[in-house]
Amino acid sequence: MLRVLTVLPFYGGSLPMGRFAAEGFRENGCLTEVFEAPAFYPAYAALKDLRVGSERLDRLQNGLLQHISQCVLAKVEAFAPDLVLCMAQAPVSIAALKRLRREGVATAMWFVEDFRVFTYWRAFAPYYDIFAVIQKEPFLDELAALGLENVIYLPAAALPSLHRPLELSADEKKEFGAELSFVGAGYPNRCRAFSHLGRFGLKFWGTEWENAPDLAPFWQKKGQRISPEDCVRIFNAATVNLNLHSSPRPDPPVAPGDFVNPRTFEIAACGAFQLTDRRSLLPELFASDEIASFSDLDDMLEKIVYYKNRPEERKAIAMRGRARALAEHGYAARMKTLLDFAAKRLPGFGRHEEIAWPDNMPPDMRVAADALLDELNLPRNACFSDLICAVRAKRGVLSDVETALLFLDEWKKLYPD
Amino acid sequence: MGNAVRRILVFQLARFGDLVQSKRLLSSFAAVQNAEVHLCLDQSLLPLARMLYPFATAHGIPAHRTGADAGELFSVCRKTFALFRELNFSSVCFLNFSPLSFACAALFPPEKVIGYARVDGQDMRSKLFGLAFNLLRDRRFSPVNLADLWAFCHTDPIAPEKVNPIAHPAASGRIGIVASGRAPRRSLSPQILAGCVRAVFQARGGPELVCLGTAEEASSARALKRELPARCAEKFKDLTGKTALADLPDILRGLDVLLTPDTGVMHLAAHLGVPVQAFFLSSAWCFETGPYGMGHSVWQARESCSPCLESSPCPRKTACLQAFAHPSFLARLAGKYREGWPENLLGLVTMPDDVGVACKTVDGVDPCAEARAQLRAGLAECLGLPGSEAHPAGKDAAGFLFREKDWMPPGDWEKAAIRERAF
Repeated sequence: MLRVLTVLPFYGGSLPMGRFAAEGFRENGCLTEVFEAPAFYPAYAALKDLRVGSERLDRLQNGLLQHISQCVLAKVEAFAPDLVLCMAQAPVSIAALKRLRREGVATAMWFVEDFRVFTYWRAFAPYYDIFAVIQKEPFLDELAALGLENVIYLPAAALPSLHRPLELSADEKKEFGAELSFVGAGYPNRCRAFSHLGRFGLKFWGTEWENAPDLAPFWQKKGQRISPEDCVRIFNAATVNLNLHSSPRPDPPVAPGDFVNPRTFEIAACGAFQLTDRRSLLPELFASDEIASFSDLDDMLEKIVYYKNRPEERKAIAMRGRARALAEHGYAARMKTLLDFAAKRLPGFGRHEEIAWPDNMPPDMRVAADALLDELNLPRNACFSDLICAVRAKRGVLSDVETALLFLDEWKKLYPD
Repeated sequence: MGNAVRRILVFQLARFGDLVQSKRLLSSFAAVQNAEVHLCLDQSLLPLARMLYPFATAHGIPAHRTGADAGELFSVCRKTFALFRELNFSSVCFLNFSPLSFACAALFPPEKVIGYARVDGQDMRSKLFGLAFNLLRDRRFSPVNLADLWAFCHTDPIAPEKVNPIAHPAASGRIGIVASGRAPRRSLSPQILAGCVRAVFQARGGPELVCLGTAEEASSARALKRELPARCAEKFKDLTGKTALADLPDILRGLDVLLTPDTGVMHLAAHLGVPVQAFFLSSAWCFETGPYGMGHSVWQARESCSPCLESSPCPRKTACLQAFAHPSFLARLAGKYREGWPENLLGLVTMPDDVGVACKTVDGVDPCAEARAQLRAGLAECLGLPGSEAHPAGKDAAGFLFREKDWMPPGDWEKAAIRERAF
């Protein structure tokens, strides 16, 4: 079985995506562990409260990031993954990436950001074995110019086990329901666009809307982070989910762009209706009858009016969108694409040392091992080291069978044949 | 707690000597009101454990290299571990820093575990064992016998002088000899041991010499006999490989003294109150694993590289051996005085104090003695032992004993374990 370590960022949009990606690896039958960088964030954030000189603060922050990178390396040493997937903004230093390369551990970055906005990729991309991106040209050309050979277009996705149709209670409908909904941060273009939407029964959730005081009446939970589960409730409870991609500039409110944001796939997988701005990469992901889109502000306002009063049409589009999302745009499919790419491009990928089951296993051991494989959702043909790896990842007290297997593993290492 | 049974399990997965060295701890647990002491160990040591600790229920698992196949090992372990879960121990103590210990620790709620624990898949060690690791950074200053370190897994262990009887000779005119232990470098060569035996033989007026050990040590015994002068060889009786473990205590009880390197038999002799004259060299360090109790002597080689690492090859052709061939030392063994004590040898006797049993230097100069005493005081203070405030550790000792993370209070699991084990 392949082993994959997913390194999360401290926070931000790529954080839930990292968790979903890990789930996608699991669905592909990989042994998966997650490096929980958010747990380290309070220490990093505390540095900013020191009120020391900026140079000293820089050194402290870089020092802490180096230390966290060492933690990632320690995790790699213990888990021995075939692939380390770093999500955008994952705290993995160049020094750590160099060491992983020296030690033959494959690394990939899923850069789920706009390359024009987050430009640090130029410094980091060459140190990853695979660089996965959500944009195409000219980004792909720029990466090629940097000398990167293993670049793959890997758009965002949905997690069907989470992003799904829900039966909401009356209270949930009241809390999360709206004629026109939006979840996301208050980018300047959205602030401008939303100033036109008060009359449509708008409710929006998310952070960084403080600079739009006129929109305060429509702002729900006033900047609290919305959990992925609540996002799904909001998507399900809305008549129309507005999905306006972000832009750092207020004008035009509906800015041209290429990549398709995660929300597009998530709303679609929920079987909810969305109205999204027309992105250049959207048509290859969803057909025009699978998702409703608009090209500019006037078009957006017209489509809101149009679809608000056409429940059947909304439902038909949403169902087609959900079918497409489930068929092609799940995290499992995305991670399979990534793993297949790694297998094709990286020599020796996935060929780690496997410890076989002992010869002449007695029947009671075979029965116990099979039951444990089932319990841990591992295939019956998983090797001994795969099972041990899964047992090690368990939290809490282990059973007598698990402990005996763990003991056997350590004993075999202490006393090799 | 009323009359509720306190069921306590101790994992001691190491060897013969370590099992004997667990005596202070196990005896302390046995002294707990309504205690029911269980011991988990390698199955080959079950007879010894039952002999040493009749008050404890011993459970054997295949912890050492044996002929057991993996399936058999799994079956035995699973059955034993299932029983352990049923027994619902109130405390479980892990003494060995070993992956086998950490694997077994996963079976128990961390708040019940003392020593080495596994908390949500993470290997952890207690504050006490963490301090012990700090001390291992420079073993020259090791301030505590392993038997005492383990004993402090109990919050209030029995007094060190109550552990083993005061050693006294059997007045039998018989001397025991252990020619070699498991690691050859920790034992005297046959030539050098023969010189020591001859000196003791002379001092004691030509006693009978009984060589003890397993069949694996038979060749060392034969080599020793070849090196002995005829008058010694005539009285040399080779019992290596010829005695059952059950017979060993009676043989030891019949000795005036046991000459031995750092071995399990040495610890067994101390357990029985048989006087020990021990030869410690290379990685063997009497301040850590010296014979426990009063009335024993240790001859400790002290080179610039002492104590060394057992697993590393010696670049100096085991230079520490030569101290045991020094004429002044051999004269001392023979009961005579001769000028010029070897600089690279210490003569020590075992003495109890507040912490446990310590080796006190009576021959030679130990340049580490003061620092060791300071560390011992620091450890006593850390353990909250009576009288420790009268001998506070200096700042150098404190700086060595504690590292940065030791400023932190115990973690949640250990705090809970401390509450659980308020014996």
